[in-house]
Amino acid sequence: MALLALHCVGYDPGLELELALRAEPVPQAMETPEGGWLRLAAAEVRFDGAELVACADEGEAPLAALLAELGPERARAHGLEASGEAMVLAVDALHGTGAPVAAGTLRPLPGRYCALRVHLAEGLHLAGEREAPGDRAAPFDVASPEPLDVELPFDAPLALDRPEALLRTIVLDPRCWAAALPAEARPEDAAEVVAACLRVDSPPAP
Amino acid sequence: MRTSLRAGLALLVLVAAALPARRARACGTCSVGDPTLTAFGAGLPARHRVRAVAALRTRRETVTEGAARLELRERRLELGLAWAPSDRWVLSALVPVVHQRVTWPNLAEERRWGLGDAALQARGVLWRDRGFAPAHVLSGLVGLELPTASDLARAEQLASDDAQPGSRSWDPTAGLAYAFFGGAFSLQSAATLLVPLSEGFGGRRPGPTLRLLALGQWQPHEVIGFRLGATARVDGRDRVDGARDAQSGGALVKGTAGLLLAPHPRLLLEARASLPVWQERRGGHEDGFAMFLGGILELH
Repeated sequence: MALLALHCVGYDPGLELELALRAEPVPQAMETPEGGWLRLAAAEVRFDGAELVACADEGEAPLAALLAELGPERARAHGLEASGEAMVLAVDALHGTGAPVAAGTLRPLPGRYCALRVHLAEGLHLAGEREAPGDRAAPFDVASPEPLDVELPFDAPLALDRPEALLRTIVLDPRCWAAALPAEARPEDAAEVVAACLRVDSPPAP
Repeated sequence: MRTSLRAGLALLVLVAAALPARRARACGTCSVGDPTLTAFGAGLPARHRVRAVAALRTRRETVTEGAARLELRERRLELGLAWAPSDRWVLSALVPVVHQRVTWPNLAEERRWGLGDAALQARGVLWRDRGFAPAHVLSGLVGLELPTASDLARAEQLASDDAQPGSRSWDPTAGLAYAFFGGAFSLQSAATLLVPLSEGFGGRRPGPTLRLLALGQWQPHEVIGFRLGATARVDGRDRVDGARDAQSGGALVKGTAGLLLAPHPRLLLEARASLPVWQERRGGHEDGFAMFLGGILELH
């Protein structure tokens, strides 16, 4: 029986991209481009995954590009499903503190990646009131009926070819929602507004 | 002159008689009446014949899914003992110690070692064309693979039940083996069916497996033999929590070539290499090159 317990395991983590999510604090009222005001009463955002997007082949010879088009399809994005982990986060953006929270780990294949694709889950909900200049405040309440994928480009391509651990932060910035939210918001606008105001930050260089 | 020659011969006889008699050494091939060098598990049964084996097997397997590829490199040290209680039966036991190196698609690497599934086997001669030095021998095989494999799952295991050192299930085996001994040429063949009776790692119950082996041997000298042949395996689908796993099972044929060398009457060394010549396995599994290096010691 002692033999059965006799074993040993060692592990080197390989390529790992830690993801963090930072929701910026929301001011009580945000000025719209028209000079009006937007006040939020609810801002619920759900993420249900993220994956790295490989760079399109740069400088590829025309013949090689043609052959690539004619040849079998190649997988270009390698996401969490390959790593066995999932990024499922529900964020109450109304109470963002500006502090990053861990959002999961990507374990990508070696390659060159130019963007992070984030999956926004359906049911993304924004509510509050919008006040046009010289007008009364009008309430709005929109919830996205469909999920939405958003590609967030990196400042510089990520070249991953040897085991290393990296960190990228997805920033959710409601301060730009005031500009992105149309006056007559439709349900599907909710996800579009959030998507337009997402970005991915690299940690400052040491 | 004649007197001195006689005296010399007499002295030689006396000296020879005075020397201690050389102790007779066990000779496995002598005891069975056939000089063919036989690998572990394939030797002719001879009452009280005991053989011990220490063997190193290496193999490589990849699992590909889209652009992602997992690579498993395995080294398996097998220690075994075979004992013939009679001229009809050979009982053997084999315990593997397994070292694995798994490279994940993201270049993460796991190195691990532990115990594999130990195996017990009984081989009984069903028919032979003559009692001593037979040319044709037909044997029945029954065995059991025991669920002794170590659970090498890491705390943050990324996957997988099939990258383990064994199935950790109760696996009875049954089969037939035929051997031909024709002087310099011999043939060893076997067909074995393994039917797992219980679940192993992760609620996985391996599918039944049919293993086939056919190896020809040419032995130009009593201490060296060359082997060439093929092995094949047909795997049924595994069941995980009662449901069939569509990503498991398949078939594989390997070509194999090797060498047997007997540097001492009690010691047999074997080296063998094999390479898949055809494989059709589900779930992106692909077998690669494999090596076998073994030493068999004739203990009795």
